[in-house]
Amino acid sequence: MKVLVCDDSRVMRQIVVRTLRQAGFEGLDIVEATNGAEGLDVVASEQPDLVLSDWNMPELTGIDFLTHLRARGDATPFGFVTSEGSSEMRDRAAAAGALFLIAKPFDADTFADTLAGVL
Amino acid sequence: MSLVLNRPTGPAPVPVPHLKAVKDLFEGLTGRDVEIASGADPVAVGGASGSLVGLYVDASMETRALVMFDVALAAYSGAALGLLPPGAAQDAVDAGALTETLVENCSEVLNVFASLFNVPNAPHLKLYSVIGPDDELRADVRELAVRAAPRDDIALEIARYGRGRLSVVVR
Repeated sequence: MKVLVCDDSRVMRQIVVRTLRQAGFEGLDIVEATNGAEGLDVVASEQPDLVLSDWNMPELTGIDFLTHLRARGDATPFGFVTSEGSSEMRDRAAAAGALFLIAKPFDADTFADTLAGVL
Repeated sequence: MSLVLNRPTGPAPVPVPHLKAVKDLFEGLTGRDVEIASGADPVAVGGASGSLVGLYVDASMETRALVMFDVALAAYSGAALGLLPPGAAQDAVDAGALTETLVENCSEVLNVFASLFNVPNAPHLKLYSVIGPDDELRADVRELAVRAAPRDDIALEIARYGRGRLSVVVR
């Protein structure tokens, strides 16, 4: 299983990867990107099985990243890991085709519950 | 004649986050117990204070909130977030200067802090920039930073790391 972790914060990418491991998802092949524009390239070149993406990022935001992916016919499973936890943002995420939205701060249990059917 | 009640119109004001929400946020990000209390001395900004200032804007890019960390809280929270040893944070506090990694990590704490402003009906805020101790503060930011209210000045201790202060001011 290959997972793309897309976040402009290096420490948050580390925390997401660490939390995946703590949630029991071992042996994942992790690739990283620092914004949505880079994420689009990485999805094309690495073909991950899941994208975990922040929302607020420079260059291209997470929601624009997802919209661009779907517009080019790419159906890679996509979830947000973001400080944007409002119901409006959750609705926008779902409407754009996201599978889930995990709000920061999060814990391993949240990852385990949310990703159980995905990974 | 019927009585017409005055109903509030327009969006709710940007809230000053509850202490419990601030405590939960730091505990969630650092995975450590956090002690928290209101009524601390306000964090000084600008110059050699060592403080980090998060500047939050609404959809029309207007500045609506500031969160100020003193050098101790910036160091301790940045280190705890990144699983750096407490000693590394203490060195920064003793030197009164934050490393690039601590600033980067603490910026992520400030980023996630935006979620505490985003309650239903209030304007949606996001972190626009983080102003370091060596950066020039705009006059309007400086003016907002020292406003008497609405604000909260908070002392916060992260277990195994240490105690620092943060100030939140909204408009």
